[in-house]
Parts: sequence; C-alpha cells; structure tokens
Amino acid sequence: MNSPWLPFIYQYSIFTIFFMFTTIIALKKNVISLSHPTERRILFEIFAGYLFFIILHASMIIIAGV
Amino acid sequence: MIKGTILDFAIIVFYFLFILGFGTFFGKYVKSTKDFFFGGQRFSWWLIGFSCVATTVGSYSFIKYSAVAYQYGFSSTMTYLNDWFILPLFVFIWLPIIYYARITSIPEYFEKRFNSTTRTISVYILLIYLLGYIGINLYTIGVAFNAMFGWDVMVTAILISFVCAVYMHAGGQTSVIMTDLAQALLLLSAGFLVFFLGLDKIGSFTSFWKSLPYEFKLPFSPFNKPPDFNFVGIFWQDAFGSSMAFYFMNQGILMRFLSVRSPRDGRKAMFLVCLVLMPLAAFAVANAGWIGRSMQQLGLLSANNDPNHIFVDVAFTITKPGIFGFIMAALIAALMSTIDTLINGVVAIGVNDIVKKFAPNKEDTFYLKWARTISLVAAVIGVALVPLFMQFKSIYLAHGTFIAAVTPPMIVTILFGILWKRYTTKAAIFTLTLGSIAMLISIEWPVVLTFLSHGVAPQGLQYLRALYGLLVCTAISIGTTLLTKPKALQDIPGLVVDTIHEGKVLFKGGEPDDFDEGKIVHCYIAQTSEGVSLSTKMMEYLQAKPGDILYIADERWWLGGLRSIHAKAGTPHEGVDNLIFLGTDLIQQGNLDVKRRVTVIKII
Repeated sequence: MNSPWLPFIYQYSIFTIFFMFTTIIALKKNVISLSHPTERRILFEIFAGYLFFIILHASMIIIAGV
Repeated sequence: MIKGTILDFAIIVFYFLFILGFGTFFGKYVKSTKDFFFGGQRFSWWLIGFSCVATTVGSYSFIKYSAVAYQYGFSSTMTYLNDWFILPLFVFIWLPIIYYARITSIPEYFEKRFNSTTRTISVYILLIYLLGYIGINLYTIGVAFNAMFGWDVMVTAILISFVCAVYMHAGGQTSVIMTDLAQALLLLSAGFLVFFLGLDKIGSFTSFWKSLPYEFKLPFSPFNKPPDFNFVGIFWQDAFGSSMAFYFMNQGILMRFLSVRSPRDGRKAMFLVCLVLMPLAAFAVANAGWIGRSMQQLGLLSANNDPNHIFVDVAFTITKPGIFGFIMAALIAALMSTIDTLINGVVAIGVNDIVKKFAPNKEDTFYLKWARTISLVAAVIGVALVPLFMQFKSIYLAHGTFIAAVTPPMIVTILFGILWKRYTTKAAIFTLTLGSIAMLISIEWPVVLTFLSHGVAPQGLQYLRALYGLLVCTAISIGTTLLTKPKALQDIPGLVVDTIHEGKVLFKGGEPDDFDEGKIVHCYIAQTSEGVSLSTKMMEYLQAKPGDILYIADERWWLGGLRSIHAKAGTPHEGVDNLIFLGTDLIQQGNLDVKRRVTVIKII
C-alpha cells in the first residue's frame, strides 16, 4: 500500500506553490498592503486558514491509526 | 421495493409547495434585471455563504459522496476540504475585478478583457457547462427517487425542474438566495441527523469507529489506485478542474458574489464557505456511506447494496416514518438549490450575451420578460440532457468526466487573463478553441493521457484529463502570447491585477477610499425628494465624503440586506445627528420602511 502521507505531501506541495504565488502577486501589485492593519489581518486569517487545513488533514491521518 | 410511507410522501409534497411559495414570494423584490440577476447587490455575507453552500451541495453530492464514502471511507471528504488554496487569488484579485468592473457575466469579462470573438466562444462553453450541470443534477435526483418510489428517472427530472423554473421565473436571484438559505439549513441538519440516528442504530461511536478498517479512516484515497477513486486523479480533477471552475467560471456563483453588498462581504462569505460550511457539508453528504459501511460490517445492513442507492437505503433503515420524508426533502432541497443557481446563470448569459446582442437598447421590462422565458427553456434543456448522463457507469464518473472535459480551457484563459497583463487576445482565442479541441481528442483517444498517468491504471486515466487540459492550455497560452502583441494597459482598466485600482476609480467615479470600510452608524429616515444626506458628525465618523458610495439597510440584521440600497453620499446636513435624508425613489428601490432605523456603511 502507498504511504498515507504521499497524497498529503503531493497535495500541499502543489497547493503551497499556488497559494504563495498568488499571494506574492497580490502583494507585488499592491492589491493588498502589509502596511495597512486591516489588510495585514486579512492576510493573517488566510494563512491561518491554510494552516488549519494542513493540521486537519495531518491529524486525520494520525487519528486513523488510533 | 417502494420505500417510505404516506407520511413521508406528504412531507416531500409539503416541502415542494413550501419552497414554491417561499421562492415565489420574493418576486415582489424584483423590479429590474439588476434585481433579477444580482438581487440588487445588497446581501450580507452570511446569506451569500449559506446559499453558496446550498449551491455546492447538489443532490448528486448526497448520492455520489455517500456512494464513495461507502466504498472508500473518509477520503470521500477530500474534494470538499481542498478549496482554501484558491482564497488569495479569489479574494484579492478575482473578486475586486468582477465587482468593480460591474461584470454581469463571464463572457462580458472576456469581451472587455479581449474581444467579442472570445465572448462568443465562452458563451458556448459556459452554456454547455451550466446546462450539463443541470442535467447531472436532474439525473441524480431521478436515481434517488427511482430507489425510493420506483419512479421513472425522467418523470422525476421533469417534475423537479418544473418547480425550480416556476419560482426562478418569479423571483430571480433574490428567490434563489432566500430559498437557498432555507435549503442549506435543511440539508446540513438532515445530513447530521442521518449520522446521529445511524450511531443510535449502531450502538455507540466506539462501535462505529472500531468497525471500520484503518484504510477506511484515512482522509485521502491511495495515491494512484484504485482506478476509479485514486488520489492523484481526483486531486487534479476536483481541485483544479471542478473547484476552480466553480469559483471562477460558474456564472451562478459569480452572480452570487456580485449580489453581496461589498467585496468585503464577499471575502467574508468566502471565508465562511471554505472554512466552516464546506467541512460541515463534507460531513453531511458523506456520512450515510460511513454509517452504511459500519452497519454492514456489524451485520445491520445487507452486504449486497448498490453504492448509488446507499444514501436512500441507510436513511430508510435508520429512520422512522416522517423522518425519512424529511431527509428525502433535504435531498430535493440540495437539488433545487443547485439547479436554481445554474438556471439563473444560464438566464444571465442568455440575456446579457445573446438577447442584448441581437436586441440592444430595449426597455428593462423587455429583458426581464426574456430572463423569465429563458429560465423555463434552461429547465427543459436540462431535462433533455438526462438520458446522456444515464449512459455512464456511475454518477461520480458522469460528473467528473463532464466537468474535466469542459472546464480547463476556460479556467486557464481566466487565470492568465487576470494575472498576466501581457496575455493577448489571440492567445485567449487559441486557448479556448484549440484547448477545447485537445479535450475532445483526449476523449476520443484517451491514450494521450498516458504520459500523465502517475502510475494510475488505464481505466482511471479519465480523471487526469483536467491536468492534461491545464497543461495543454497553458502551453498554448504562453506560446501564443509570446508571439503576439498585447493590449495596452490603459485599454484594460480594472480587468487585470495590475489595474484593479483603476477599476475602483471607474466604479466610484472618483478616487477610491475603502480602507475605513466597516464602520456602521444607525439613523432614522427623513423622507426627501431625492438623494442622500447624512449629518456632518455621522459623515466624519464614517470618514466619508460627498460622492462616496454608501450602503443603507434596514437595521434588522437577519433580513440579510433584503431591504437595502446603495447610493452616493450627498452634501452633509447640520441637523439632528442620527437622521438621514433619503430620496423617495431610493426608499422605494431599497424596500425600506421609513418607520424603522437604518444602518449606514461606507463602501468606497
């Protein structure tokens, strides 16, 4: 059987490239600005949400073996 | 065997009538085509969030995800939990572009960004996508009713499409959003009810958990097997084929986000959808399959179940008369809330991209009449497509094959169109046409997908069609762009990431200032002949200036913006602070009650 972590790594490698690429474009083109508190908070929320799903999927893999 | 009792049947009929009446009621809020398509750009984020989920969860979702959940386990959730990566692109770039450019349809974006030829091509592709989507949903509900009552698939499809078309015909987008709120609550609660009743039948959560094998509990299916549900194929098909199409080219969803009161609310709606409602929906639509597998392992359910019927079989086994009818009503809710959005999408494209092209500059009532006619035609075509999808081996295969075959050329063109200012019109035309031809080639000769197999067996290669399409279309886009001449940046204001600021300037008619958006004031209405005037103190608190766009809504938050209006701030008055002078026409347009207070927000 394939390692249960292989799909996890594959998915989040590609997602991270896409996620970071689009975020950097938004920053470089001044669509959002890190100097503004509201926009900094939105960016933080988006990164926190992304981390939430990474942790959720990792937890599901670990709990499956319990 | 016919499942259900007279009571179940009565509940289903009652639900039909309730939605028909509820949806038709909101026809009174439709006074123009803007109201019909976008609900007047007035709704709150939570209302849009719920209605988006109701649209995402179709009847096919309960049937299809319960079937794969029964066969493969918790990995059935992977397609609902992988949307977050889209967020930066959607909330920072796509949403401001479509909102501030006042785009009414995806083809209209293509005309503004490229030319009328791309608009025409995209109309064809989008109509195939939306009408096919309607057909799949009708086919699925037909399968469910066939399992329950032994009804013919086509008879069910005709009946349900008729109900949807009737309330769509009356109320347009407002009816869609309001009925979708009711239907989202119903389908989520029914999904959870199935789980708790299932646990009750099984005995305990521990028994449920222990009855399932290790592989069944993993969140992803194995990387490249089995052929009909492997991770890598589903990943490309769903995350980049289906989800991207859903948020970037589905006219119904686009219109939903255009009906929010501001891009800020659109962003919050997207957060709500991806972070909260989609995980809940993933659980709601799939758990019947997990419960079914557990019951089968424990000898509480026959081992010879058809996966496509597992949702109905489990629901029937664990419920009492009446409750079964409630759960089946939720299945119908899921279907209707998806189809109404798709029909509204077809109508928007039909009116804005076809009728207005052949009959420009007519009265708004002329287009409203056409909008209502097209909603009926779309329902009829959806029914006519049902036999096509009946030929597929499974609903999952029918849905996946169809989506992956249609969407890549459009997705790639939209992404390059918004992200790359150099992306040319010729590149867009070639991507849409040659990309579509390449997709047809892969359907006729699947061998072309072999080089992307990732070790997937030949029977499962169709799931990699989305990846193939994305790669081919990307190559066409980049190659052609480098060989052709781009449009000047000043010719595409607000249509690419580089010119979003210019889009805001055009939207407002002046320099935008949306940094302080979010502050709220409460005021009493004083009726006047025309315009809007807030007190100087309130204007200062909102950091608003004359000419800024304000959102004025009935203070009852739970109306979700149903009674509200956008208007430009006029010169401030020096009278009572919490008084807003509002023109009679604006009060009527916004369905505002002069006896009630309103909340006022500066939008831009």
